Amino acid sequence: MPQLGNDSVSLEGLMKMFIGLIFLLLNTNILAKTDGKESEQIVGVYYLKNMFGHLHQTANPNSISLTTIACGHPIKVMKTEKSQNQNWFLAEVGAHKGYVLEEHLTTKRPECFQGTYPNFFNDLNLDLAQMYYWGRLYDQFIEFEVKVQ
Amino acid sequence: MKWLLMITLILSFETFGEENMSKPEEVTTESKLEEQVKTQNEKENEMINFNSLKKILKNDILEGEVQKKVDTVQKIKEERKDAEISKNFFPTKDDIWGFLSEYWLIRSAQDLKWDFEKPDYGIKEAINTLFRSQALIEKRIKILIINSPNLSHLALPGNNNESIFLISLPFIRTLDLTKQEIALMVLEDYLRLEAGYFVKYVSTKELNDVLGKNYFGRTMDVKEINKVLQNYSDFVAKKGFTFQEQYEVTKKMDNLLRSQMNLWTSYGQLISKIDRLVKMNLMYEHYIKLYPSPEMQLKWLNPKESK
Repeated sequence: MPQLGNDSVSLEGLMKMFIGLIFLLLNTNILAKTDGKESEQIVGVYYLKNMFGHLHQTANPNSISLTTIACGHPIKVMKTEKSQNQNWFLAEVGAHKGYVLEEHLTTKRPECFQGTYPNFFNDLNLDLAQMYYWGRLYDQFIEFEVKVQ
Repeated sequence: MKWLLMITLILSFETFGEENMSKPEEVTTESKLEEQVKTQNEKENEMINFNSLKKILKNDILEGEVQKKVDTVQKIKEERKDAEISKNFFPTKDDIWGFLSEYWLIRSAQDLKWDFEKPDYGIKEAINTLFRSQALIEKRIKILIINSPNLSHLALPGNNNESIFLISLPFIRTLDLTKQEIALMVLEDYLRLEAGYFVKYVSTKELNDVLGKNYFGRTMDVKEINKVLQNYSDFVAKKGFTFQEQYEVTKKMDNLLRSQMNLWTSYGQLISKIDRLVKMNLMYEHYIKLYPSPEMQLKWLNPKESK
């Protein structure tokens, strides 16, 4: 009898240890997953307000363009970065992940020229190079509004 | 015998009378039967006839429902047509100029060489300060630095309350312009733009006629847009501003800056620098085509000295 009792106690202990181990493993796994998600958490969905724009490889207006975006295109913003006195957003557009200037985005769906005059815009038959340059133009513009101090 | 004859006569009359009386009765029953048959046929016909259905539908208020559905479909069709019409508007006066100026810049990208890497020259702050000092507030400004000596500086029309300023980097480097002088050059361009000289030259009657109008059922004439863009290029390369326009702008600058002597002196220095450059540097000979006679500008600024 005492032998039996001893055996049952050790089995219980083993079971507890085993369950505890599983819990520990699961917790670490979940934590690792949430850590991964935290670094790619979506801050919000923004929209491009200019006629065309670019998703850049780095937080620099002269860096390689990953893709050209048209006005009103929704962009998933993940985090903000500051570079050369400019605020940049790390963003996701389709399969691409890159940087967009904060001043080129808006939180509300903008009124785009293409949207207001769709047939006029289509009739112009802009080619891809022109769309690319239109995006570049906004990268090169120094834009501001004169306001009361 | 007499009695027998009398009885026979009476009886024959009676039967004749009965026959006569019974005939009309027979006709009425036939007509009644016919009527009964007709009405049954009619009833059968009415079952197929849609007019009878209409009556039933009318009684069930289903006809109203059908009418409602017809109205809804008609309404949807009209809305679709309205939506299609609304897609065919030509841009309005407020929307067209910013678009045209940017489109011209896209098409002139290779000539003007604006797509290049450059540092922040701090021009923004200088322009902001100068414009604010002249009470030119709530003005939206776009500056584009170009890497070409072919166009020294120019203001292009933008959308409502917006202006696009082109500044040549080789030009400001050759003249070694200060930030304040660059800002004054931009202010001078702004006054030219506000006076409408540029828009007056590049716009066409055909363009003004279609602004804000709908061209549903027709195709948009791209030639008209191309013609205006060609006018942009012609203005820069050939036409330029007139002496009269230059005089008006110089006088406006004179009036604006006279109360702030440091700015007025800077403006005078800027014109002197440009005057020397166009006289000495052949590369900037074309400058006079766009902005005629800086020498005259100096005289207009300071008439007493010129005497």
